[in-house]
Amino acid sequence: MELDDFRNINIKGTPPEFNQQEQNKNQMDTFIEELKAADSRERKKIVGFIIIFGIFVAVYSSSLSIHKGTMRDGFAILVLAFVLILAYMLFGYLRIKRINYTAPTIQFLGEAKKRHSFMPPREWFFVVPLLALLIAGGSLIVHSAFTRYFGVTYWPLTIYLLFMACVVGVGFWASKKHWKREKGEMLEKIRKMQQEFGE
Amino acid sequence: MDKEKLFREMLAENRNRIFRICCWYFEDADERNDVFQESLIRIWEQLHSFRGQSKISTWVFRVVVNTCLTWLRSDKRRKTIIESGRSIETLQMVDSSPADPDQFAEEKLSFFHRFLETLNLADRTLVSLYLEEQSTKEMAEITGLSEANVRVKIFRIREQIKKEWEDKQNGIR
Repeated sequence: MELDDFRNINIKGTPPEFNQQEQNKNQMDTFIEELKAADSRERKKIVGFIIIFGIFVAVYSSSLSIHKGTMRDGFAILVLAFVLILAYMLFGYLRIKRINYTAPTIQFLGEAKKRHSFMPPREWFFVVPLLALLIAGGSLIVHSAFTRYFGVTYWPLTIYLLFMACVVGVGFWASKKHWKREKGEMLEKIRKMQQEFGE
Repeated sequence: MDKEKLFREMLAENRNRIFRICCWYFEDADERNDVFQESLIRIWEQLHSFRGQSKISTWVFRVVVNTCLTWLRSDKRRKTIIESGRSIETLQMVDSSPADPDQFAEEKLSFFHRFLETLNLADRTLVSLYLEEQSTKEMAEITGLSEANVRVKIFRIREQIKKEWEDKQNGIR
């Protein structure tokens, strides 16, 4: 027996859509309509996100005029950090939506592995400056607020920095644990697939 | 050409082939249908990137194979890859041996499914593409393997299936 013998295999159970031309002409139209509607929903979602993002930035930026001096600088840095966070979220969403399914399998698996890895270099590139901005902005606000009432003192700032270090540490630990639960097994499967494709 | 027209043409030409490829990866009928549908959605989403540099079937098979692999590793996955011969129920041989057509075809198909279970994912992908009459070059384009590698793998699979069938006929297995 040859492998070629199985080229004559036919489908008894037919595809779920459009089995018989007459009856399924409408099904096909409906399906395409659904796809178009999904495209449109997708566009609306992104436009909505950008609008909300714009409103958020505008409202937050306007609050800057309330504060003065170092406090104002602190809030300005926080605004910048939030803008970057939202931009990063939008970027992440678009990246997920734009997975290239037309790539050759080996390349596709390689990209999937990168996408599902825990904190790949690309993430560090965003996360470290973002954290630095958040901590710097927060530090300026804390320091300036306490200085106003208690004179120049560094204890509140020290406590704030220790608190932030704990938040970052716990956040890192929790997100790694979450990632392991959500993606660890999947990443293992991808690695196995890569091995099978000789990568 | 507009997206919808291209999609309809692609579908008219390839829908059964797409479904057959899904069948080689998934045992469960509902799951096959889901993956088939998911493949069509992916094709629709990515259609704008088709530049006509390869045959549309090659481009479509890339999307389908990648969708199947994504499904295999995803949470949506309900069952494991073909673990039993249940998928035989939805496929049939069109031409069969003249002696005892039905029984012989059934036996061959059952054997083939058991054989597929022993293959790794790369080999199974190549078999599914080979059965859809993709050339070595096209299989290489779809999988990203080199043409030489595809040729070697297909050669080995052909030899392996021949040997295992002979062993089976001789009662060794």
